[in-house]
Amino acid sequence: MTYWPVIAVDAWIGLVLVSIIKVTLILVGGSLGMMFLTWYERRAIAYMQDRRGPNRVGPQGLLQPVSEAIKTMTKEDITPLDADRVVHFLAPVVMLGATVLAFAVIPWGNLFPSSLRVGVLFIFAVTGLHTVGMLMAGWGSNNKFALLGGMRGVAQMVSYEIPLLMALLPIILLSGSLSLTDIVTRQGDWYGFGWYVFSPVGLTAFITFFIAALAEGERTPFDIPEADSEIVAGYLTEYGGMKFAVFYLSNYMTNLALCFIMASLFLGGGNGPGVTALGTVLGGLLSLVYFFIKALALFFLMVLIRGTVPRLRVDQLMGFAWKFLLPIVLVNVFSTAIWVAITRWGPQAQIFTDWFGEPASDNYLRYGVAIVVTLIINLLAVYAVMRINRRQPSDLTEEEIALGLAG
Amino acid sequence: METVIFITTAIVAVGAALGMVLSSNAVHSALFLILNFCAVAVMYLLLRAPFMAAVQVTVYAGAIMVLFLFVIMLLGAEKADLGSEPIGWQKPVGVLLGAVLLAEGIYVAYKGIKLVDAPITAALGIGQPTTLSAVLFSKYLLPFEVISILLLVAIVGTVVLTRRTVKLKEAE
Repeated sequence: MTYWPVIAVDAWIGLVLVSIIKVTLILVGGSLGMMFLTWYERRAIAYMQDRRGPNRVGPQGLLQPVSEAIKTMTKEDITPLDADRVVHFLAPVVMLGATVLAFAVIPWGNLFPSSLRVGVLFIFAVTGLHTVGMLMAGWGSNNKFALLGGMRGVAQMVSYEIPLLMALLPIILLSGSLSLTDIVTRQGDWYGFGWYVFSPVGLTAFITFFIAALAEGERTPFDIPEADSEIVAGYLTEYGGMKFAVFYLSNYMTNLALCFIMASLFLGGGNGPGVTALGTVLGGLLSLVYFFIKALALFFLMVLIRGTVPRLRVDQLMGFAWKFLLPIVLVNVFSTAIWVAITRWGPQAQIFTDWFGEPASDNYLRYGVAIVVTLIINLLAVYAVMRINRRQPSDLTEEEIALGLAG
Repeated sequence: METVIFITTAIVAVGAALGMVLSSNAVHSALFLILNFCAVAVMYLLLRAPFMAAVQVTVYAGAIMVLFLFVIMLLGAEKADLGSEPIGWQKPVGVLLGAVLLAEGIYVAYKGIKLVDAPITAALGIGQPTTLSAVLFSKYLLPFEVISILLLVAIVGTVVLTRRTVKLKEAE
């Protein structure tokens, strides 16, 4: 082999081995995390509803997911007679593949940084493929309820992807980067508490992103594609045994990935007090602990919402995305631009320097002014949107009715 | 390493394209097209243009093709019988144009013509989002704004066309 020198072949094998180890870690970690999450969710929701939840198998019921895994694996694998066998089989594979790909670029604390420069875009590109899996499951089952569920799922996903991505724009504006690792490191100042959620724009972005993430992960107020009281189980109707388990796995792994992403983007990822002081190894381990605490706290919030809020109607779901979330998210992008201008612009806008002094991380006057201005803009936007949405048909003027602007 | 990935991706892309053309079921065709788009996105990654790859998957595979699938499935048009071709000369012209394109591609590949005469170092940065946005918001600002207005007009048109007409309250 003159074409590839020996050293190159060695490096090649090394790269393959490292990749295989990484992929195995992601897959095993994801599945174990999902098993833990199902137990965590059931125990937490049982606690909220004054029940006990699964507590028999293993200590505190921790081995309950294992027994359920064995149960689903030993079940018969059924395909409906008139189903499209290939599409029916591939749908769970597509769903799980789209989820696992998103885990490739998540920075786990400061220990395993990801190097992809457009990591944020990559995550939302691959999770967008979920809709394909849903449609495949809905259509391939050859079942009316499954098709309806698939359609509902796609309509919901496509609608909520827009506020989800728009809620990201402020973070990208603030950090000036699309890489998740960069975004996390930029939140490291102020003794590890420079998280984006602590600014009015970041808080608005976080809340809107969280709501849209609930819809993307099909969590309870938005679990309309699987609404069992209306359309059996949606696109999952014709799935049983291991295929059903794979759908479940993909669903929980998506929620886990969304929690990790929210922890990285808004809550500073692995940043916290003491991470930089403890050095690379110990600080890295501490950052991993912080990262998991933040992600699990976000998941607990998701469970809390599931235990509190009933399921929405389809029209309420769509109206909420387009008439409420989208305008607020757009205004938030605008106020983020103002925030960046007030806190960072020195020579670009001499007038700010004359008024508030040079831009610096300890120029509290600039930060104070920015907080007040953006807070006012965002609150006014929320108030205006709520006011417009609350208007009754009887409040419309003749011109609006003639233009067809009534609901 | 890159050669292996390229060959695998190329086989997947060509196979998916063939499957898309040859399969008789419209849903299968659309699914093959999604696979093809994803393979092309991997090729963008190989060309060090991760931004293009992400946009390719988001826009084409994630949004446009999902709408295609949505319409095909909702109308139940997956098994539509093509019947007789309404435009008779369409097929021979299509074959002819395809042959011309193939010959052109083979000619370019055989002669090794550089289509764009620019230094490779300049091409390396073109996939970066910063480079793209810097060009979009300075040199090509006007086309960019015109396209956004065009899209806005399309959105407004859709909203107007799909709106239910409301009767004027004449009784009151």
